[in-house]
Amino acid sequence: MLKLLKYDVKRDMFMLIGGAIVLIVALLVIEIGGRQIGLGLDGAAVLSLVTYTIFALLILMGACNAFRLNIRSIGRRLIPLGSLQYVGASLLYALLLNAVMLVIGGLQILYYDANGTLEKLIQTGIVKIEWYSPLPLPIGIAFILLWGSLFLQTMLLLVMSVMESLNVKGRALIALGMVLVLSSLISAAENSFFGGLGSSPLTGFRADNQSSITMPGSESAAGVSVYLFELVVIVLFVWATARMIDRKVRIE
Amino acid sequence: MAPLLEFESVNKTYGKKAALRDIALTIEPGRIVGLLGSNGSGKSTLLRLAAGLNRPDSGKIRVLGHEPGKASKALVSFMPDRPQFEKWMTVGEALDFQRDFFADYDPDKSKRMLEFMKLSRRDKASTLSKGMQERLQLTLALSRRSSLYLLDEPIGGVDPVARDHILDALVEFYEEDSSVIVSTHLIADIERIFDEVLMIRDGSLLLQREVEQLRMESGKSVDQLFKEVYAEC
Repeated sequence: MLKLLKYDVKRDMFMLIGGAIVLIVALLVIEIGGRQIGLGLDGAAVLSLVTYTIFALLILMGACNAFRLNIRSIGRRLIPLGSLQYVGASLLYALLLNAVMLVIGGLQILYYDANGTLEKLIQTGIVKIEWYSPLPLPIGIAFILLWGSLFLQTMLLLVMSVMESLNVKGRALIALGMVLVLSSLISAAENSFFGGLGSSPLTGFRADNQSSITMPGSESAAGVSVYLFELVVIVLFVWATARMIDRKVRIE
Repeated sequence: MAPLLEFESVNKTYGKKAALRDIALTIEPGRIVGLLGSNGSGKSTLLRLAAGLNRPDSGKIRVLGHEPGKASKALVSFMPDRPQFEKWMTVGEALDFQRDFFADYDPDKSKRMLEFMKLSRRDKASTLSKGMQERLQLTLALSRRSSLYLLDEPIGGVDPVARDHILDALVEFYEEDSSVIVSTHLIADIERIFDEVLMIRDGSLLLQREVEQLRMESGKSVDQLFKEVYAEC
C-alpha cells in the first residue's frame, strides 16, 4: 500500500509541489497584499478560509482522479496486491495531502497567535468558535477535518469504482446522482438513528458574510455512537469498492 | 510436475459477444507456445484471464494450482498489447516499479536486457518509438524470473529488424524451466521459436499441438496451415 502511495506521489509530484507553492503564495498575497490595499483582518480571514476550502476540494478531486487512474491502469492491476490495497493507498494519499494542508493552516494560525492577530480576530468577533468538546480545540479541529475527508473520500471512491465499471454514456451524471442519493441516505439514517444530532461537536465552518467566520458547535452532539455508525458506513463503502475493483472495473 | 496453466471449460462474454467458448487447455513447464488466431479471435482475452486481469463467466483457471488473483499475479509475467508503464515514467522508473512490486525481479537480468535492447534508463518511456516501446515492454516482462510469461502480440506493429531483435531477446532471456505463451498473427516471423501451438478462432480452441507433430502430419509449415485455417474467416 505504501509502495502504491509512493508511486502516486512520484507521479503527481510536480502538481503537488506546484499546488503547495500556489497555496502558500495565495496566502502570502492575502496577508501582505491585503495590508497594502488596506484589507481588514476580517476580509483577510474570510479570503484565507475560502482559499483553504478551494484547495481542500482540489485535493479531493486529485485523490479521486488518482484512484480512477490506478484502478483502470493495466500496469497497476498486474501487481500482486489485493483490491483493498488500492482503496487504502488512495485514502492514505488524500489523508496525506489534507495533513499537509492542515500543517500549512496550523503554521498560519501559529503565526497569527504569535503576532496577536488571532486574539484580535476572536476579540472583535470576526472569528467565532463554539466548542463544547473536552478535546483541545486544535486537535479537535484537525480530527474533525480528517474524519470528514475520510468519510467523503470513501463514498467518492465507491462512486468512482461504479463509474469505471459502467460501459454506458452519461457515466458522470450517474456518478453525480449516486453521490446525491448516498449523501441523502446517510443523512436520513443519521437523523432517524440519532434524532438529528450531529456527529461532530463542531458542526462546520461558515463564512457568514465578508467579515466573519463562524464555527458553530453543538452542546448535544451524539458523539461516539455517530462516529461508530460512520465507521460502519466507511467499512461498507470500502468493502463494496474492493468488490467492484475485483469484479467489474474495466481495465484499459 | 503440475501444469503451469490449466483452463477448464472457460467461457467469457463481453455484453452479448462471446469472446471465449468452452476453452480447455493445459500448458506444461519448459515450453514456448504460440497462441495463434486472427484479430478478434479471443487471444488477448485468454491471456488477460490467465494474467488475472479479467474473470471468466464460467469454468476454472489455475496457474500452478492457484486461481487467478494476488498469488497467481506473483507467478505470471504478462506483457500486454499496450503500454503497461505510466506516461510519466522513465525507462529506469518503469523497471524500478517492477522491482518494488515483484519479488522475482532480477536486477542483473534487467541490466543485461537493457544493453541488449539498447535502452537507456534515462529515456522517457512515453517518448520512445513504437519499436523501442515494444522492447521496453519485453524488458519489463522478462526482467522477472517468472514461472509463466504471457506475451500479447510482442512483435505487432514493429519493423522486421526490430522483430528479429525482440525474438532473439525472448529466446535469450526467458527462463528455461518456465513457459512462454506468445500470442500473434504474424506466424512466419516467429514460427521458428515455438515448441507448441494453440489455434483459436471465434473464441473456440481449434487445436493444441506440438509444432513438429503438426508439420509432420500436415506436411506444411505452421504459417501455411494458419493461412489455410483462417482463410475461411
